[in-house]
Amino acid sequence: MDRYLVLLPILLPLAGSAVALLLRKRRRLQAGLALATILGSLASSGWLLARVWLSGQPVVFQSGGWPAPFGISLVGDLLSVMMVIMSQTVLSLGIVYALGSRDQVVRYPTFYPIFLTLATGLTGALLTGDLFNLFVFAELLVFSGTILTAVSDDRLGAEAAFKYFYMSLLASAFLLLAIGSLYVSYGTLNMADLARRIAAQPDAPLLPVAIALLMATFMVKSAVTPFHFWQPDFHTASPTAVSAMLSSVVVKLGVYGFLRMTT
Amino acid sequence: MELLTALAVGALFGIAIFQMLRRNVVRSAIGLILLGAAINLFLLSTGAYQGIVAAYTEAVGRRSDALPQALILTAIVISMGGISLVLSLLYVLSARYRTSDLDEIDELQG
Repeated sequence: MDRYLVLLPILLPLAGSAVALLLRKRRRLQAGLALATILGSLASSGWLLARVWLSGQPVVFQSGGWPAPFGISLVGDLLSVMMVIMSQTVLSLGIVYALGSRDQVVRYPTFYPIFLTLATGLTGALLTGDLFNLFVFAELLVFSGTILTAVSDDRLGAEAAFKYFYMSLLASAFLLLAIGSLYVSYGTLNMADLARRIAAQPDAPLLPVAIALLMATFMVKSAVTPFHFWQPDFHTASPTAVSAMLSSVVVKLGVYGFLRMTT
Repeated sequence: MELLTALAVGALFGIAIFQMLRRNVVRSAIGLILLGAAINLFLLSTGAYQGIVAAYTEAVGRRSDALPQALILTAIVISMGGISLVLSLLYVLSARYRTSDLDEIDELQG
């Protein structure tokens, strides 16, 4: 029972987004539902943190019941759960801001559903223990961020969103190439298993290539200096409620990727 | 077969990068599509050519790894979503700026 806890912060926003999409005609109900969903998700990740803190070992969920290196695993250790708590706090504050905001964009019928898929992508990318799953959740995050910026009140929003999306698609292409190189060298995509196999055999010819590609990916995502040029435009043009998310927690995903890569 | 695949991946990457650097918006979108195809072919070449019998059947013999194909399937679906989003953004942009030249879409200062 315990291990299903790590699913909750991912599944709650996803389900909330689907339900909020059905409620698109009833705006106040939709906004209330979005707030309730994100607060419930925050509460469940707080519960997860308490469980990880008290037991002192990570909560691992194997989807489909397959054992570790074969199935896709979701891992909640202290670092990732802390990151999840941080990002969900910021996301809740963003929804609270959007509730009182006078921008036109919060009246866009799919604003809250896309905001919740942004939460799903962020949480999933932090909690996953599988490289390809990281790619999928990061793409969800990028798509949601792009759409939320493209519908901004600022008339430059579409241009900024286009710029960001091109950069992010290129970064995702690098990530896919890195996944392919790592898979052909080590035959696994599970992060813990991958770390063990790289330590056992550190001289695979494609390993430096994969490391370079992963570094390029995370540097574009977190806007580290040689790849920072998309960031100022994107963050000034996006709606205020979304800009808070994008500049505070979304770029941290790249930093988190670096941390995961090096430990 | 390996040589042919390697050449095809290289050629696709070259064409894709060249097209992405063009100024015409439609050509840059085509470059993105080609880049997706190049990456999918690269993923396919990581393990799909070893097998001689179908996987998950009773047949005896060497089987291909099924995982790269699952990865490619997911990547195709995601890139389809991405391409449709790019095309719709390009539609909005070209209607708003009345141009098909990416250099003229430059009202942002950054």
